[in-house]
Amino acid sequence: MDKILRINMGADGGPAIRTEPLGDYAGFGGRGLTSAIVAKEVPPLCHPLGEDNKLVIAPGLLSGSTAAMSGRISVGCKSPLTGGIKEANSGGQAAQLLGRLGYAAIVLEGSPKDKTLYKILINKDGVDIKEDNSLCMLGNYDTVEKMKTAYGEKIGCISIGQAGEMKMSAASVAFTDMELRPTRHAGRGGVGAVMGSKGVKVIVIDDAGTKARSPQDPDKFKEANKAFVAGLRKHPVTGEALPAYGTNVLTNIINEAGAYPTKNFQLGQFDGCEKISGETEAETENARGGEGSATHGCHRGCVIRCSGTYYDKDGHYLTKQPEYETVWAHGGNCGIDDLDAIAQIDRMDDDFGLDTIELGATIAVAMEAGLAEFGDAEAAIKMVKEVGEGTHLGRILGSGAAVTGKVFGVERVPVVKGQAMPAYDPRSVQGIGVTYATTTMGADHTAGYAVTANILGVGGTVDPLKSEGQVELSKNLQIATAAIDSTGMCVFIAFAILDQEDTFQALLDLINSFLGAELTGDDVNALGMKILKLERDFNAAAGLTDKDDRLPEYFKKEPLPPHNVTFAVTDEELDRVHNY
Amino acid sequence: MRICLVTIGEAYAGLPIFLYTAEKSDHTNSVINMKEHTVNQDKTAGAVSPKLHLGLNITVSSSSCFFSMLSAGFSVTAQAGCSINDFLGQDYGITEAYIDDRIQTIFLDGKAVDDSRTAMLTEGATLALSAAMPGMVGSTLRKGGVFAGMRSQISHVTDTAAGRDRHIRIKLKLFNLIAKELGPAFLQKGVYLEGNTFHEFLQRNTEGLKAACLAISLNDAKTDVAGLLEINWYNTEIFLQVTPEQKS
Repeated sequence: MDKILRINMGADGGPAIRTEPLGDYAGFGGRGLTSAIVAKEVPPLCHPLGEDNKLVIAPGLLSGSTAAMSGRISVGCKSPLTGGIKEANSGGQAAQLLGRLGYAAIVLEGSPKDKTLYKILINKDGVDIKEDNSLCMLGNYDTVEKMKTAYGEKIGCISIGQAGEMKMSAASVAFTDMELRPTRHAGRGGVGAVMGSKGVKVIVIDDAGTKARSPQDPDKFKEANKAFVAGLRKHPVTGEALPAYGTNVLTNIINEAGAYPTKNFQLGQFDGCEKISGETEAETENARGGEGSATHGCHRGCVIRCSGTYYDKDGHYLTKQPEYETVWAHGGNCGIDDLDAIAQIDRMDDDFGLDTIELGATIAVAMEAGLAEFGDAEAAIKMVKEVGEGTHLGRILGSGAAVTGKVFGVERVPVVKGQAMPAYDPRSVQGIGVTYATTTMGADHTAGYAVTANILGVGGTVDPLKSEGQVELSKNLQIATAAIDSTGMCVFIAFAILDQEDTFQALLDLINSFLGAELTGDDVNALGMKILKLERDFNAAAGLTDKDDRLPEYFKKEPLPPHNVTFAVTDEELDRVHNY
Repeated sequence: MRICLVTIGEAYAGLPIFLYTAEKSDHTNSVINMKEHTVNQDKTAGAVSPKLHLGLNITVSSSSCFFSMLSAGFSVTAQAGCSINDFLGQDYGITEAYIDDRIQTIFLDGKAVDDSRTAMLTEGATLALSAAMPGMVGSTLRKGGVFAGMRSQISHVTDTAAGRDRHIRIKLKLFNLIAKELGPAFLQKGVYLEGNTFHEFLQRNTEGLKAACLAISLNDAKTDVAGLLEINWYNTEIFLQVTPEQKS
């Protein structure tokens, strides 16, 4: 995996393809690589949908190998939603396929001269790019079907739906899963709009004739992988809770904590939560049966298998198992307690190519504006349809919660840097509020993930009863997460690493034996800091300041039931997060 | 139709546990007169006498259909002022090791508990038990640990222990793996449910219950799922016991 594929969509005479060695980018993967390229090559003040922005798609450092959980892929650019740097990542098959073909990144550059749509084929023989306007305004499902017909079923696809073609700020980039369905998405920040601005509808990857990447030290690698998998399997989160219930296992817990944003962040608990909980979802899926119902992986090499398949009441495939964030965004946050309706919206989101968090938050803002009643699932479905059809209202909603709030005069708009908050109210769990406020990405729940501060040696001694402790923890988590995102490892490995020192060591051994490196916990920390600094510098040059590292004012003023707490971390404390 | 009634011991709060074994039950009491079915065995101070005693004998493999009901919450009695560990250990025989290792996430009245040995139960409290949870916030909500500081505003603060001379009612919620592992024992010992909670459960799980139930008794009278569906459960309280079939 030592080359970068660059396609200049605006070249004279049509798209120009060139392949380059990694050069200065050697040692970077995943988020590290997307952010390094964007920070170095994209003018921070450029228009996100203009010719100077670049869309970078990068598998992780270990993608394409047989390392467990190494199938995440990052998508980076300047975000049309936040105006800052963006990395959104996804599961699915593409990371493994690109890794086996030897590509560390695909970079889409320039702007096409007209509205022609393109499809790109990448295989062992090289790269081919073709015009294909028959794909115009197709959903992701139909697009993938056409690619299957053209190129067979042993491919992976990276595509955009109607939302990406219309350059909506809530548009995602879709990645096909093991069943060749476009169910995995790099959702956040409008990365799909940037792909749409490049005129690329779909990238087809065919790894036929390739082999898994070889580790530098095969024996150590095999041993480390075995220990790593054993660690994941013995941990109650990665070995039991996630496989049994998926990420939606969180619904009951977050609701019980009074941290479940309900009806556009008006309440911290949702009365209908048990109807849409992970337990109920798994029970429903198991009762309806079908292949891969409640426990299923999203890519080859996944041993956690936190996903599943959602079949409708008649047993027909509807969508993949909606995840916690999706069930919350289109469920409790909109006052909807109907799992089938939520699954239907999830399918529509995947097909149109929309970030479920952004769109769910947007619909809740629209409900608060009076466009529909909270709890009205039919109205929510109609709104999503309007987005896919590109009606005037749909265009507004597809631009995200911040735009929708402005258009309809809503004060309670839960965004940071223009990006909607995920499924945890920062008044109840104030540490995540620090992360929402200060991450380079806009409100993002994965930016400060639970990679253990103490094991990585970056936590230091913090007083958990002081808000300074929350600031310190958030900083350390953001650093560690930036590093893990670069490996291409699924962030859910964090739980086993958190609790089991031998599993963390196995991960380090896995990386080192594969790359022939001698990385330590300190090196991981340094890598994380380097990536964050690149991102912070880009944002500063793009015009973002400390004033953008804030939660909306109402979080400080409106007490959240049932605990009636407000966000108490001061601006001065927030400004200390990135003092390193 | 042969129904065999077996008393297997004195149950919680003085109610006998009945175990029915039957191939199939008759729909004999299609309409239950609520006034005729008052149970009043529970003389414990502070406890409310249930109106209806519902016994379900189910196939061993079908207890999972009750898990969503357990996560919605049910009531049990406890000794006033006892700790969470004492309640689980003394009343239900749950070991300290299980509580320490397996029950990683505990809420008492919606507040995250860091020390289950010192957090005390009071009248009307809501106790929720869960295994370790994923995600940054899942980790933050765990008992103790480095990340507890990120939710200090909703951490449980231990109160002074109340007198332990009486029994109280608490609401208990069992989530995810804990429902799977402890749920059958709680159900077998018996739980108090609001009628409307049971009604909603019944509506959602009608077919599952038909397949799962070998025998059903309501205040000692046999009935079946169709019979249960005809009852107006609202504004009633049920003492529900669910027993697994005995393999001979």
